[in-house]
Amino acid sequence: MNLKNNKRAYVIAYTGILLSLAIVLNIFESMIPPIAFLPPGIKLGLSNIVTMYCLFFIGKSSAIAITLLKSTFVLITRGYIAGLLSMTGGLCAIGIMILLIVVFKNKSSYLLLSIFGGIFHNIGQISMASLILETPLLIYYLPFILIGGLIAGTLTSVLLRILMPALNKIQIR
Amino acid sequence: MNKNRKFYKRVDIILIALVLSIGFGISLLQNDTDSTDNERYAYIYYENILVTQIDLKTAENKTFELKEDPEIIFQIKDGAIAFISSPCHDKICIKSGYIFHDGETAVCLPEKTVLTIKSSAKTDVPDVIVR
Repeated sequence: MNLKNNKRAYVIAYTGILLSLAIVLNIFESMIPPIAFLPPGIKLGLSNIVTMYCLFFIGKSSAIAITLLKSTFVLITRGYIAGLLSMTGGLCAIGIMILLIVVFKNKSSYLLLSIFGGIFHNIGQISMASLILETPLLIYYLPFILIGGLIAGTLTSVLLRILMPALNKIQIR
Repeated sequence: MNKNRKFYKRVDIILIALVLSIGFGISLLQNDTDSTDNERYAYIYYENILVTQIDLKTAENKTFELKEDPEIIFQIKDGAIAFISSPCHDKICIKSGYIFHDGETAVCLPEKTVLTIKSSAKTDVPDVIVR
């Protein structure tokens, strides 16, 4: 069986598996009860682990596909507002990561990309929430965005490192 | 392509320090008047229009619904206020619990309702945006 002939199908199937992983992580992290003083709807961003892995080892288009499809899932199950927040957060995160990869090539570490991804994920979500409510949430919540994004990004990159061997077991040659 | 990417570099420590200092710096700059001597008012915004203003220092414990959307119910208890019922799907507003201090906020995005606490001392954040 020559894998190269099936490569396109392989990539699609593999992306599908990663997408379901991202969705499960998203469901899991939405079960964690929010704390009163944190911004509305801010999540840990665990599904970013999967998106990052896809970005680094499969390709940019697959990673963007995972982000969009995951947001579509949120749209279907939790409604327009949640789907919109997920989409802006996810696209901001993957956008800045792609930008950093293109600009810095291999010089940026996983930790740096993850932190920027986390921070921009929060910025995207708060900006969209701010737009919907027409209140200046962004200014007030900036410290939470920065520090929360930093912590989430660090956590994501550490988890990525831990999970890397398991995720690598399915390889594309 | 990505085989040589490191997990962290020394530059990252500078980045982390930068983000932490900016984050804490901004939070220190924002006036947080936690003292309960100041007046505390609960503001309820529905679709960006202020519909209710309650003086939390003098309010009695009571449960009331929003006139504009009777399915949203608030409760005031011991000077704090919370969402206790809402037709939204995620119930994030209710999970936010009781808010008490100046600046704390509980929001129901699908219902476009914002509950926030402001004291007269807070001046650095604009209160209302006029469209």
